[in-house]
Amino acid sequence: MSAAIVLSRYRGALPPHCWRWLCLPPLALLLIWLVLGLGGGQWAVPDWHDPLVSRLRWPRILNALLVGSALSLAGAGLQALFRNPLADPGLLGTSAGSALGVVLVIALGGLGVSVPLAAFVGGLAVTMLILLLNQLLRGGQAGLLMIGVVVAACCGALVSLLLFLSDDLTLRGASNWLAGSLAESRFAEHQYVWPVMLAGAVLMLALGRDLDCLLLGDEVARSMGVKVGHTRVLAAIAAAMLTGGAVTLSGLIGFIGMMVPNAVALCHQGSRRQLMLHASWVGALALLLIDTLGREAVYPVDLPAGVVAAFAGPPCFLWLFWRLQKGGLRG
Amino acid sequence: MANAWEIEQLMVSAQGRTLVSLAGLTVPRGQMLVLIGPNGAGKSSLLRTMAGFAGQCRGRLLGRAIGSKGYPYGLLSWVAQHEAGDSPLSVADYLMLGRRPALGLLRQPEQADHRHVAQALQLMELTGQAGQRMSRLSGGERQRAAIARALVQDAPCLLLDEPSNHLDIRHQHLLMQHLKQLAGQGKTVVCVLHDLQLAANYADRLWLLADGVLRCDGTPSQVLTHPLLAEAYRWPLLAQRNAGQGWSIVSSPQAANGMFVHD
Repeated sequence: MSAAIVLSRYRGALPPHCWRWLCLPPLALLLIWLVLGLGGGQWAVPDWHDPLVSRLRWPRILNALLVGSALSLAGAGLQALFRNPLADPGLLGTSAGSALGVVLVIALGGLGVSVPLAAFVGGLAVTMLILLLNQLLRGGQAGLLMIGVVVAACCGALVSLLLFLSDDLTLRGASNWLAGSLAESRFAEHQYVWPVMLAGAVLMLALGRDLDCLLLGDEVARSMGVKVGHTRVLAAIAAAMLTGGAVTLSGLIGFIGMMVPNAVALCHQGSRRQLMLHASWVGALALLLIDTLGREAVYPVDLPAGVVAAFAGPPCFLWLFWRLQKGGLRG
Repeated sequence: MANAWEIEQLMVSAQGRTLVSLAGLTVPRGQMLVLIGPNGAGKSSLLRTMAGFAGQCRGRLLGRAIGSKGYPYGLLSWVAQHEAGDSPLSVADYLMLGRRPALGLLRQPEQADHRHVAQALQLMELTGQAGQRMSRLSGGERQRAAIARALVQDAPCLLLDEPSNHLDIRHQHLLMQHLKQLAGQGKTVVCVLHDLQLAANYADRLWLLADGVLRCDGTPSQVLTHPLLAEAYRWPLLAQRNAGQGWSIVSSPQAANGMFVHD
């Protein structure tokens, strides 16, 4: 992400094919972090038979990549859907809806497939509610953001209420999870979450061309054959699937979904589908970096990735807002 | 089929107030119809209703019933007065979005699609800017790109809301000449214009609107008469047709004082 930001100074001077070359340094970085993560912070080839590697580090690295990728992809899609560069699964309440669904299921003693299902249904219900309220109130882009923030706050209040009513064990487990930690990553969860996230990613990428049309306005999009209502619902479903999966794997991790697509957009010229693809691998790398920072920065304390992202988020948000005022960002 | 639009009833209202109300109108196929009238007359509302974006319109568009069956996909190209948001696309990619009805969601553009885009770029004199990012274009270039995107779509009807906005005089005339040529090839062109001179010189037919009512429907000679224009615009205007030089509109301060000069 930082590479993308630095390169933004030269945007315009970079022909689109430069992206092929720009992919290489981050991929090398990704490999380094993989080795560091697997080798326990040392420059050593990991022992693949070591249970520490196979049962703890691999699932954690894989989860960081998956969650970062899913949140960035969902963010890039939502920004086009809402025509707002500040749209993000966290800010718009999609994550909060997923969190509410999961906490509700945990409080009721649900396990297994019910958890990702609750995350998906919660995220989808909240996204649809926000779209519906905005339509009814004719809120426009600013209204959409405000409604999103309000609905997210309501979901947060409901989560707090559920936690308040829960026993200590549930409370502690849910609190750790809500902080956005990847420390508890296990392969066992993947069998339910992978298909949902993969389907969400395929759907969102398939909608890329229509999202490009939507960015030009509903009327122009409709004149180009886009069924605006259907596209909105499908994109909301795709975002809910991606966010629901990410929330199930890691809890709440903010800012990635907003920051990464915008950082990529600064030096990217091309279609929304290409932007979503680039944002997904940059997001994967960014979250792996954040998680590794959280694990190594104040060792032996393992800071949750959500907490590190929350610390890094506000300055990045201010920077984004400043760029927005300069007219340098697009939805 | 002689008519592109057969409008039985058309109504646009907002907050209980009727903005535009029309009935029993037709737009012949292969003609260039220009909507003129003062600010707030209902021109854009009427155009948006004809496109199926607002209001209620009962009738037929190219033989297909409109009003109850939803939006008439595939029949219209649309150029909005203001296009929302900045696009991170290059000009050529932006124009390729015009091929969306042909390409659908997933099909990659083929040679024929690229040929459509190249032709539109050439027509709108944007070939040199094809690789530039849309957000870096000037207002006039963006307007030309929006028109080019609508041309790439190659729909039988073309609706344009104030297409001459931001364009210099040369590009205004080039645009109108091309629209006229399209009408000659059988496409139906409907646009809103504020420039009466452009409207008079290029339209096959004019609809003069004022206060949501169609004041006159006819050829430029029938519509551009002093009493009609003065009443609609509440400003003394004189339209003159000079042999070989086309129409000119006089709206000078002298005209405002009632000092009309006739040939």
